[in-house]
Amino acid sequence: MARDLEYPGADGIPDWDSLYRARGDEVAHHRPVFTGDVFANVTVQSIGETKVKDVIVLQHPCALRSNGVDLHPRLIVAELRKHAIIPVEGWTGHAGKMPLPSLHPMVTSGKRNQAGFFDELYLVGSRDLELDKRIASLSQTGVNLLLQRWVNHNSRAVIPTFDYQAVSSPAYEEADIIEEWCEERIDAGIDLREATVEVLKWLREDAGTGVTRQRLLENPQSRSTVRRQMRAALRAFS
Amino acid sequence: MPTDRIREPESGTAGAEIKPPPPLSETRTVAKVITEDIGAVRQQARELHDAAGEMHWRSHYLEWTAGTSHRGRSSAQDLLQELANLGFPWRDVARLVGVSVPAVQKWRRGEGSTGENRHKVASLLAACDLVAEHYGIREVASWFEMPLLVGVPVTPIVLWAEGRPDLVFDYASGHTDPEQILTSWDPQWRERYQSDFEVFRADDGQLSIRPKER
Repeated sequence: MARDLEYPGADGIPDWDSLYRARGDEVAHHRPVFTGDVFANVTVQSIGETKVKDVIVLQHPCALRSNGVDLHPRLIVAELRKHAIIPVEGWTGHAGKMPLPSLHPMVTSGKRNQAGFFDELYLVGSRDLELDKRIASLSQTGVNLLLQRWVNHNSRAVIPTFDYQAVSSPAYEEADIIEEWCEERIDAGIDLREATVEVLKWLREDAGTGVTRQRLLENPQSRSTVRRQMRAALRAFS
Repeated sequence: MPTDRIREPESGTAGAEIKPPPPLSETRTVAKVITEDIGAVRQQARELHDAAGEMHWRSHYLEWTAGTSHRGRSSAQDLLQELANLGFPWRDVARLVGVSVPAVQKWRRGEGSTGENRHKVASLLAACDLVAEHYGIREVASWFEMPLLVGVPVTPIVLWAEGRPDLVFDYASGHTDPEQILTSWDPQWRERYQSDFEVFRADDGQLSIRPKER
């Protein structure tokens, strides 16, 4: 079956909201930085100078961190600019962009709709990706669409989003668990870094099955077991 | 068995050997009647099967709505805690209920949800009760996350989120073949989920994508 670049929605009807996990004030501060996160007013490195831009993180989930906790020193980001809504039939084109309609849902001006431009790339120092500058995080649907468009831009290959889903869902699952763990532990008075180290140590432990919990997350059948264990572990702290 | 009346399969393309059908014998007339009778029985069986399926959905529906009323007495916060204890991730709860993840997180913290949304959470939990009690599904959250068929990324979560609880209950009951359920959901599912790529574990241990071998 010939494949085109996909769009958020089905049967020709757009579902822009399905691109996002959270926007604006609703973004969880303690969620680990992930592919597709959008940051505002970030200092980026250009040739011979620095600039301040709104950007979207392009790095693949597996290539964001060296040790599981710390981001790589420099990450690839694309510049964000306002852009008219691209209707669903237009998503097969515009291959050099990641459309982000309704990125600012409370804004009524043209700034409401944005796009990431793959030909406006920058490196950003991970220390410049301050969490309080994060203004959106993508849903799994959004991440899969971003990966599909970014890979297509670089290779002209169109890989179905459900294949990306199979590869990126363990990392997304892990981010969800880290977010939930950190939320609870920060409420208990532990700082974000300490909580992140704690949950990663827990994820890398053998869950009594001969494999680590991190590896168990690769199998959809065992994910709920890991989540139940995580919630039990959090209850045990209190 | 009147073997002399059964035509042998064609072994070649010799058009000259094709003869007009012989006149109907008494045996053949009886066979024709039997064939028609069996066809009629199969038709009745099909209609009975469809009627039983419809009745089963109605009984599921009645039990599910009664269970929803029962579950709906609890607060949204308590209902979400029960879903968490089953092992559901918040993003799937949000998808199953049809709201955003931040909305679910607010309800978890005790911020008010609408009656309609509380009803939706209660109905999800009632469905979990139903499939666990009737069909022995022990790991309900895991069951909701598992594809109906290997290689086809359609799970009970997808069916539920798209407003097809009838297919979810039918799948749980085991009375209908998963392929039939997928066809009821989307007749084009085979084409939709056909891929020239496959997921594999690369040398560095990471899941990766490559073209399928032809």
